[in-house]
Amino acid sequence: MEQILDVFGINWKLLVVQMINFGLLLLVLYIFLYKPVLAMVDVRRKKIERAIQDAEEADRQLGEAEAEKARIIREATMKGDDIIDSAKKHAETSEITIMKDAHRKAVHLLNEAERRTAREREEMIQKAEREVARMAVLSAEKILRQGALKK
Amino acid sequence: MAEKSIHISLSAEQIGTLWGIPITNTMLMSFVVFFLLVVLTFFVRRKLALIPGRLQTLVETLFVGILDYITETLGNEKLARQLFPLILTIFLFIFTANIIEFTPGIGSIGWTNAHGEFIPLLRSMNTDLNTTLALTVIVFIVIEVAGVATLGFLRYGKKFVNLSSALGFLVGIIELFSEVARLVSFSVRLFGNIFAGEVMILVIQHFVPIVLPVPIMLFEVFVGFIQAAIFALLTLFFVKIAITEVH
Repeated sequence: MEQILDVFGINWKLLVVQMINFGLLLLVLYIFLYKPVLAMVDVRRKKIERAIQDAEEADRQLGEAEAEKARIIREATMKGDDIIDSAKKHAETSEITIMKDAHRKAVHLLNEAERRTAREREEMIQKAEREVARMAVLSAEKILRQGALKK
Repeated sequence: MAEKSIHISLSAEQIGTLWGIPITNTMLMSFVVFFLLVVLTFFVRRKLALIPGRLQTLVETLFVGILDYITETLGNEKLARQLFPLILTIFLFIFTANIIEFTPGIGSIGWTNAHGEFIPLLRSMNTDLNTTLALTVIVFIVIEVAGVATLGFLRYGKKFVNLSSALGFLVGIIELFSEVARLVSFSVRLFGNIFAGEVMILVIQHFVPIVLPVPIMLFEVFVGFIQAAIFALLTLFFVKIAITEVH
């Protein structure tokens, strides 16, 4: 055994030095290489995960917004239709009222005109009668005056 | 020239002593690997941003891929996160050491000592059983700790000391042996592969110094990658076995 160790140059001091050397290398690489690199990978992975989640969230919100938009447009269209309908109905009723009013007014005006015409005609007749009477009186007077002169 | 034989030493050459600790050329090499990885860390770290550059994308893809694989294998995300640094460091440490083993200067720059032996300043890290054994001891401890921490001491111990039946007891003993045998198999597998590659290159260089060593070196780099991956993957699989309850 001793001989074998001697041939291979095995020396516990060398073994310990090599173990310390490797241990130190492990420590240095762990602190300055593995840890920061893996931490960087983890940070990036988290960031990408969050970015994907954000994108999904944005997509979802976009979808909701689209649905909301469609709903609002539909409601607005329906409301608009209602307003137009009611306006039409309102217009129809007021048209009828206006027509009735106009008709009534027209009838009233017509009656008025007829009444006035009748009154005027009567007045004319009365006037004419008065004129005729006056003329008759005048002509009688004339005749009487001529008669008197002749005498 | 032809008389000069190839000098092959199983053990790493000592190049000095510091505070009573022998300094070997493979130890120096492991410091070089350490330094290279720290430089790489510095470059990755400097440009770390939420919007990644090319290098960061590459590093992140590798890290996340490896972490996902570990998580999938263990079926336990917390444990996977805890084990990930160890497994990746094992891979990076061994792999970096293996791909730079043919860098000109490594193994060729050195001096001749008083006994007339050539002492290279740097020597491929995993051609020293001390390095591979040190890694193996760490892995062994981690495997046992993971097993005990996940299953609890008694349930984990049941794998090795099973008194319910004679057969169970025997299986437990075999398990115990294979557990300890890992110390040898892990370290010698890596050491043997890399050392054999080095020796093969040396021999080929000795006979055909140009052209022929190139494809062999290429192959050895591939072996270096495979061995690094095997060491890391076996660690993962043995942890998986350790945290799986015995039926």
